[in-house]
Amino acid sequence: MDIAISIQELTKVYRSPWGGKGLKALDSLSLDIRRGETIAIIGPNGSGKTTTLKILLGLIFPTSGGASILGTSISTSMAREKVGYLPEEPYFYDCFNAEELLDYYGRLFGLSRSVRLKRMEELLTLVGLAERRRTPLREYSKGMRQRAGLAQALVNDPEILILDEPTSGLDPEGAYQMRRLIRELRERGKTILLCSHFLAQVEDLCDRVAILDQGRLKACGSLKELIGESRRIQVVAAGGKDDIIPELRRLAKSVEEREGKIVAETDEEDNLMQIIDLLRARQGRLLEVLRPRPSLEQLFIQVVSEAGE
Amino acid sequence: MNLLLVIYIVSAVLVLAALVIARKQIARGLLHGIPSVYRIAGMTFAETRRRRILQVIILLAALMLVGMLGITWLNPGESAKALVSGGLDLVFLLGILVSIFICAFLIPSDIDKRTIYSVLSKPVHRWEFVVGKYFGALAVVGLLVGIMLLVQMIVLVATQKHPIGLVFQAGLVAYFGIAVFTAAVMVVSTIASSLTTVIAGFTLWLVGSIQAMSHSVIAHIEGGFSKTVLGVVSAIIPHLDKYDFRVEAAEQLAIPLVLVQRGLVYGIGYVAVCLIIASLLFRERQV
Repeated sequence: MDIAISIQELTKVYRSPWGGKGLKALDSLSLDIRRGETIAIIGPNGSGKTTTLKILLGLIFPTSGGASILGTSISTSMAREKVGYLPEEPYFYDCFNAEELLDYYGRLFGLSRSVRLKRMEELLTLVGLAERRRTPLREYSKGMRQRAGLAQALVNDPEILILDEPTSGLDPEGAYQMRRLIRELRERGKTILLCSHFLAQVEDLCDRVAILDQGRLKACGSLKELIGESRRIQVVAAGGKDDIIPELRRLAKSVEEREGKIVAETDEEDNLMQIIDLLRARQGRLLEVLRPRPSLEQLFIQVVSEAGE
Repeated sequence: MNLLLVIYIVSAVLVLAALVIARKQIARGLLHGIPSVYRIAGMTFAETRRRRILQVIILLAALMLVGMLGITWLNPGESAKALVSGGLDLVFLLGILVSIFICAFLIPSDIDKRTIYSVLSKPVHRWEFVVGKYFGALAVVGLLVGIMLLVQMIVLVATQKHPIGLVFQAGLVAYFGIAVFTAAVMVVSTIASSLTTVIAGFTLWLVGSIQAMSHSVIAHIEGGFSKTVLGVVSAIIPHLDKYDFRVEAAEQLAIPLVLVQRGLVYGIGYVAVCLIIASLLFRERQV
C-alpha cells in the first residue's frame, strides 16, 4: 500500500503562558492516507481537524508524535514540496491580482518563468478566472477568492491537496463548481485530504472518512465500512385494487400509506419479486425501488454522542 | 567601554562558531535560501509600496520638503545649511517612521490576516521568511530615502548652488543606520503584535538616538550592578548616533572615513545578530 501521508501518535497540547494543564487539541492521532484517495476529516468544532492540518503544513508544531508526507518528515519544509493547501478562508495579499498571486506562489516553489506562465494559463482557465486575471483580489467575491485559492494550491501541480472547508461560505452555484473541480482533481489521481462540516459533500466526494472528536480518532473507513450495506428494500407504488394493502402486509415487513403512495419495506430480496408480481396482479403502479441506508450525518451524530456519554 | 567591547567580541565569536559548526547545513540552506529570500523580499516590496500608509508618508515628506523651502526662503542667509541639515533630519526621521510601520505591519499583520498560511505552507524555511521580509522592508525604505535625497539634492543644486556630494554621503550613511534600526525592530515584530512593535520601535529609536549621551553617563557611574545593566542595555539598543553626519554635510566638512567604516562594521554585525535572533524566535512561533 502506497502511503501519501502518515500520521503517528500525533498529540498537540496548547499551553497557556500562565501554566496549567493546557488544552489537548489532539490526542495520539494515528492515520495513514493512501496515495490517490480522497479522505475527509470530520468532527465537531474543536475536535482537532484544523490543528491536524496546521501541523501537517508546518504552521504549528506537535507536542509529541510526528508525521511524514510522501516519506519526508513534516519537520522539514521540503515535505511541503508536493503539497497544495487551500485555507478555510483564503487570505491573500489583496492588492495583487490572480496573475501576480500565482506568479509569486510559483516562484516560492522555484518554478521557472515558462512553467509559471503555462501553469497560470491552465489554472486560471480551470478555476474560471481567466477573464478576471487582472482584477485586484480585493474586488473578488468570496467564491472567486476561493477559486483563486484553489488555483494557488495547484500551482506546483501537487500530488497531495489539503483543503480546509473548501465550500465554506460559497453560494450553491459556487459550491457546485468547487465540488466539480475537486472531483476533476480526484480523477486526475491527486490525493485529497479535506476537512468539512458539509457531510453530504463528504459523502459525495470521499473514498474514506475519519471522524475526530476531542482530538481522538473515533472512526475511520469507507462509507461502506462505517455505515454498512443496508439490507432494507423499499418499494414505492400507487393505485391498485382495494385489497392490495392487506395482501402486501402478508409479504412485506411493513406497509405504510404516505401522501397517496404505498411504501412497502422488506429485508428479503426474494420477497421483492413477489411484491412486484402482486402489484402487477392488483393493477398497482410501481414507482420506485430503493435501498435506503443511514446517512453519514446519522453515523456522525451517533459516534459523537457515544463519545460524549 | 570595556564591557561593550567584551559583549561585541562574545557576539562575534558566537556568530563565527555557529557558522563553523553549521557550515554544511548553511551551504545547503543558502543554495535554497537565497532565491527564496529574494522572492519573499520582492513580494514584500511589491506589497508594501502599495500600502496606503506609505503613500501618505511620502505625501507628508513632500509637504515637509516644500515647508522647508519656505523656511529657507524666509532666512536666506542660513538657507543652504538649514536645507541640508533639516533635509537630512527629515530623511532620517521619515525613514525611521516608515521602518517602524512596515515592521509592525509585516509579520504581525501576516499572522493576524492569515496571509502567512499560504506562504509558510510552501517549501519555505522560517528564516527565509524573516530575512526576506527584512530585505523587502529595507528596499521600501531605500526607495523612500532615495526619492527624498534626490529631491533634496535637486533643490540644493537649483536654489543654493550647494555641493551635494557630502549630502549624498551623509544620506547613504543615514540609510545604513535605518537598516540597523530596522533589524532591531524586526526582532520585536517576530514575537509581538503590531501595536507592541510600534511602541518598541519608538522606544528603540528614542533610546538609540541618545546613545552618545548614555556612553558618557555610563562612564561616570562608579562600577557595580547599575553600570553593568546600563552597559548591557546600551549594547543591545542600536547606536544610531554612529550614522549621523548632518553637521559635516551642512558645514561642508569631510566625513571621517574611519567613523564610517566603524559604523559599517558595527552595523553589519548588529544586523546579522538581529536576523539570527529574529529567525530563531520565529522558528518556534506557532502561527
